[in-house]
Parts: sequence; C-alpha cells; structure tokens
Amino acid sequence: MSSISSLDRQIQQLKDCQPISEQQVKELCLKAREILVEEANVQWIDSPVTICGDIHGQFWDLLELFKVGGMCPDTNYLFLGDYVDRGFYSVETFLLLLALKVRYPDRITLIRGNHESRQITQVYGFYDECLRKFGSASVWRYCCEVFDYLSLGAVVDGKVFCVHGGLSPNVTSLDQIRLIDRKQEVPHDGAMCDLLWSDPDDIEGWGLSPRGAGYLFGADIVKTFAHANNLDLIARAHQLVMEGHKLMFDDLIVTVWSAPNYCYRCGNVASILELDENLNPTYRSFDAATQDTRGIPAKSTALQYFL
Amino acid sequence: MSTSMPSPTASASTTALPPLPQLPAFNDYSLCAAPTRKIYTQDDIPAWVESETYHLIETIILRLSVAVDGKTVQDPCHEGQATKTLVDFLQKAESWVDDIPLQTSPQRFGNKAFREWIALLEKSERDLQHSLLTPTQHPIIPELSHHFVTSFGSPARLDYGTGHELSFLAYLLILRLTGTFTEQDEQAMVTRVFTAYLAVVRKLQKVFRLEPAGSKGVWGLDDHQHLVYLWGASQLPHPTVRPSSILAPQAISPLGISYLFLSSILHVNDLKTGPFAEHSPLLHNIASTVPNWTKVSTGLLKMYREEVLKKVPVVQHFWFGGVLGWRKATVNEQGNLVDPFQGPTMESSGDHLEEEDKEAVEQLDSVRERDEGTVAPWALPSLSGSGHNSPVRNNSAAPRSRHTSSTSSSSSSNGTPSHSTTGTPIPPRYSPSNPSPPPQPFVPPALFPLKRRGSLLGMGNGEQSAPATGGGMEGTVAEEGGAAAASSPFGVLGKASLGRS
Repeated sequence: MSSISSLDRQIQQLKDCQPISEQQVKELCLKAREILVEEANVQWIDSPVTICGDIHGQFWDLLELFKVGGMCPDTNYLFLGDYVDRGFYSVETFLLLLALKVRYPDRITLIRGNHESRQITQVYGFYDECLRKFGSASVWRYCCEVFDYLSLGAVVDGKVFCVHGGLSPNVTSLDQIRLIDRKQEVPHDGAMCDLLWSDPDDIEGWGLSPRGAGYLFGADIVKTFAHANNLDLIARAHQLVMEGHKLMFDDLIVTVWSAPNYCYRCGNVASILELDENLNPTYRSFDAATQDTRGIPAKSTALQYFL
Repeated sequence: MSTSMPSPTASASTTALPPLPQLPAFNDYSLCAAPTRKIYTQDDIPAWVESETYHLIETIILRLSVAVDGKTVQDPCHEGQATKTLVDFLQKAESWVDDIPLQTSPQRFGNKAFREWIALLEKSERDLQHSLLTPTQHPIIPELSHHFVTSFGSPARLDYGTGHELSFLAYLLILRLTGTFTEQDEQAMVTRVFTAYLAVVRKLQKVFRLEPAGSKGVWGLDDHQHLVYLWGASQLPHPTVRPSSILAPQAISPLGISYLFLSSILHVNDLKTGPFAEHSPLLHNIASTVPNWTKVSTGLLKMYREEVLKKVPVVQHFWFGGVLGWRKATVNEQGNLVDPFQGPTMESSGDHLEEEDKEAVEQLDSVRERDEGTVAPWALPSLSGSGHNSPVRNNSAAPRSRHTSSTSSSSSSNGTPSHSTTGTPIPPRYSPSNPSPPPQPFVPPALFPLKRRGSLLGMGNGEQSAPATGGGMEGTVAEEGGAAAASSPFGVLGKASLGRS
C-alpha cells in the first residue's frame, strides 16, 4: 500500500494549489476524522511550537506563512482555526492543512474556529466556494464532518492555553473543557460556543458580545483563569489585528492574526507566534504574497444567473 | 425589440414602451406610519416577496434600468427641482467628509469618525426632506428619513453594504410615488442623483474604511454595491466596450466617469490589491463568460432578487411604514398593482415575539456599537431561545495578583493596535430541520486554479485567459440559492419590457 506516497503526492498537488479529486477529498476527510477523534478536547502539545491565527482561505498567504515559519514537519504547528470563508481558496487551504495533519499528525495541530461550522460557512462564503469549484456540496459536506472532530483548544507544556475565541463563563478550569462532547455542530450557546466566539475587551467581568454569540471578557476574568489553571499565557485569534498580534492585560493574553491584507483590502500585516522550548515567544510578521507568487485562478463556468 | 431589454436598438424608445410597469401615485396621507421592522426570519421572506413594497421596488429598478438604457452619466436629461436639491445636498454631504478629522485613538478597522458624519447628516436631513415635500406630505417624513439616514452605512457597525444601497433606492422610490420625482425624472434619478449618492458612499467607504456589510468575502458580487452594476450594465450598449473589457482597467479608465459599471470596476481595483480574478471572482466570471450587456443586466436583476432582496441578513434592516408598507400585493396582467397601498396587512414572525424578546433584539442591536467580526446567524436571542439576551455580569473583583508571563520581549503591547474583523449583519436563523442544502448535480472539478508563476505571464490583474465572448457556458454550476424568478411579479427585464398582453 503506497498510501504515504500517494498522500505525499496529494500534498504536493495541494501546495501547487491544484485539485485533488472529490473521491480523494472524501478519503482524506475520513482519515483525518480517524486521527482527530483520538485527540483531546484540549490537546496537549509540547514546545517548541509555532502558533497561527485566522487564515480565511488566503492560500498564497498561507504559503508565505510556511516560508516565514518553516514547513511542516520541520516546524511543529498549531493553527487556531478559521481556515475557511471569505477568501478565494478556502477549499485548498483547508485540504492542504488537513493533508499535512494526516501525514504528520504529531507535527501539526488544528483546532476549531467559529467558522468551522455548517451554519457559518453557508453564510460567509465557503459553501458558495465549494459549489462554484466542485459543482456540488459534497466537498463542503465532507469538510463539515471533519470540523465536528476538531479539538476545541490546546495547551502547550501545560502553560499556554490556546483557543480560537476566548473564555467562557461556564468554564473555570481546563478540565471542564475536557468534559464537553465536542463532536457536533457548534452550539448556539454554552461553553463550546463561547470558546470559539468570545473576545477579550477592556471591561470588567463578562459582557454581552456584539457578535451575538460568546461573551466579552475583561482582564480580571483572564487573570483569574490563568491563575486557577497555572497558565502563563492565553493565545487566541478571532479578531483582525492591524499589526498582526496584540497583547493585552499585562501580556497575559495575545491575539494572533495570520491573514495579511485581510479580504484583499485591510492592509494589515499578519503574524505567527513561535514558542521555543522554554516558551519564550517570538512574533514573526509577514505580508501578503506578492502577485508573482500567486497562481491565477482557472477560468470558471458561467453563473446560473447569466445563462 | 425582440427578446430582451435593454438592448442597443431599444434605447431610442424605451420610456414609451407601454408594458413597462407603472408606479402608482401615493396620496392617501392618512396611511402614513413610522416604519417598523417586519422581517425577522426566513419565514417572513415569502410574505415580503408578495408585498406591495417588494413589487414596487422591482418596478422602480426596472424602470430606472430602462431610463438609462444606452445613456451615459453626462447625457443631457430632464433635471427637475428635486434632482437639483438632492444633488446639491449630496455634494455638500460629501464635502463634510473632508472636514471631519479621522480618529487616531486605537481603532478597529472602521474609523469611528464616521459617526460624526452621520450626526451631521441626521442634523440636516429634515430640512432636506421639508424642501422636497409639500406641507401635506410631511406625515411621510419619519418613513422617508428612516430610509435616507440608513442609506449611508451603519454608524454602529461601521459598515456599508447592499442593504444600505437598498435603503437609498427606497428613499428615491418614495419620492417617486409621492410625485416629488416624476416619470420625466427617471433618467436623472440614476445619472444625477444616484451617481451623486455613489460618490458620497464611496468616499465614506474609503475615508472611514467602512467594512463590507456583505459577508461572503470574495464570494459576493462586490463588497458594497449591487444596483450600480445593474443600472450600469443597462447603460452599456456600447460600440467597443464589452463585458470582457473590464479585465483591462487601463482601457476602460477614461470611460469610468460616463458609465457606472466601469467606474465600479475601477473603484474595486482601487480599493483592493491582488489579482482581480481572486478578489472579485464573480465580476471576473461575468467578464469572462457573459457575452453581452443585455445578459449582464438581466442576470444582475435575477441575482439581486436572490442575493439581496431575499436574504434575511440584508432585508431584516428594511423597515416598513405607510408608503412602503407591509401589505399584500395584487398585481394585474400588466404588472401593475391593483388598488395600490390598499392591500391587506400581512403577518410577520415579529407579531409573535414577546415584547421582551423585541427588547432583547434591540438590546443586541445597540450593543453592536463596536464593529465586530463574524456575527452569529442565530443571534436573534428571541428566536433562538438562548440565553444571550441576559448578559452575564460578574463584577466580583478578581485577584489582582500580578501574573507575569514569559511573554514580553519582542512584542509591541502598547502601540495602537487595532482589533477588528469584517462586520456583517445578522444572517438568517439556522433551521435545524434543514441543516444542509439539497444535493446539487455533480460537475467535475475543472474549476480549480492552475498555479502559474506570474513572471512569465505578466502580473496583476491582466489575467490573460481569453474571455469567452459567446459560448463561454460550457457547463452549469449548481448555484447559490437558485436564480428562479418564479415568485416575481414580472419576469426578467426582458420579459417585462416585452409585455404580457
């Protein structure tokens, strides 16, 4: 069985931003689920590790990220979710990361963002993209089934808690997260929802989130949580930061954003957070891929409206 | 006139075409009412599509399309007093932008100084409405003002999208129904008034960095507008400019001031960086697969129905009053309303909301005073039955022990980093009974990008893939939402101008 070499071939193909077949997607997603189902809700990761924030289908910028951070498996990666939606290459982005996960399960960790959801992807672009690119929703459906298996968080050396959104009033200890039955569509409320949706803010305590899901949480909440769980840092993504990363609350929580020039117009830089074996942080920033390193989208068929 | 409208041959006689649906005159001012929200969930969409208001909106879109068929922005046309007054106001409002300093405090993406501009607008718009109306018409002002003020973007979310553009259309429509604008003014309503409006909102988008209220990123037609493309395509029976011409921005650049479609393309190129095919795949698709402007125009109308008018995230913000009411339409064979403004009031899912639920909805709306990123589709607390309408407050003092972390050195923690994600309105409620769309016919994945190192092919937007000029429809793609126009009071543009009788 030459599954590794065929997987390597798929990885190479995906790195070139070229298609793998729908059947290959199906098999890849199945294998990924077999791996992910074994992972904990809060996956333990050993340092050194490189932590990355939102990607949102910006495939060529993801390749820039790998140039800056090193390729997997040479570099141990943790991605904080939001692989899909809004960008042009959500399918390619997610499948490349997934193929790397299947090939090097111990060298890349993918956790769930709020966009890794059936409901959200139907509103924010990934569903449309799959229809446009494959002519059917099958690939979207396979991907959504994988989303349900993604971990909700990770903890590096027991000291750095990593999550897509933030904290939850229903979670005071990491052990409580471990009790969640995560293999489902992201619920509309409760701990699992909050972890993927919440944002830190300059308030005291908890506040209503303008997003309509999750909560806002203040410095006091973060300090209490970090103290109770013996954490040095909380690393999260979920919000665009023009400078690529932003530390808050006495450097106790950091937002890492890895989609440069978000939506082709925001003009922001992106960054990744490297934690060395002593958990010393280095932030590396990068810009959007230049035009000459981007492929050209293939011609597409006419939209139904215009036939 | 053969099969479709607008077409080059039709431009001479368009307004004279008898089958073009008429707009009724509104003169029963006892109907006036402050606008209220009616559309809360997907369940309200069928009623909305059958409403008088929906019919009137389609009618005016069509009429204005026909009015600008083959016309440039500069072509002479009748300019009534209302046109002059509105254009003056819009130009003045545009100039306020220069007088408002941008806020330099830590900002999310959009600049909060936009709120100052909105405040100026709110302060002066009453005088504008008074000058456009006769005293007997003043009872419509609350409704008229609502649509006007919501035409320029959301000061709460610091965003702008097709819903705001729709509000401006509603504003023009009301003025047309009340006789402030007449049939004679229709060309100027686009080439003078709407064009002036567009200049304002583009400036607002650019200076205050208003985020796209549309949510699909590259998978929407445009981050902000739709109607401008629709009417812009109607303008464009043109001897040399074809849909594929938009792929050569240098070539169309001189024509941008004359044609709204082209100026929109130039605006997108100005606002965004990166390959056009990547940041605007739908526009690129139109350019490379649609053979002529007639098809662009009819397609954009179908698309407008499905992607704007029937989308809860957009039209939930469209409120209903006395002129544009929540009344059921009866439409005759000519596509005209029977007993306009007299239709029976319809039900809305809002009717069944408890007062406290409505308050919760409003509370959520008011808390959106920071621009936010992705918004939860189920974010109507009243409807989801979730607990989000009761904010958790936990003000108990946390231990203030300084918890130094090993993070420090290379970071810039105290600069002015800004936090934001692209703002988006509340999308429709998730329906658990319909968790995923129906299966679509399979088409082989021939649509993937081919990686080519750019240096050989030239860079940037000059996608060299030859645009299809005729037979570019080698296959159909299962589409987003379905473009069926079945529920519309009249067919696509072409059919409507062909007439029914």
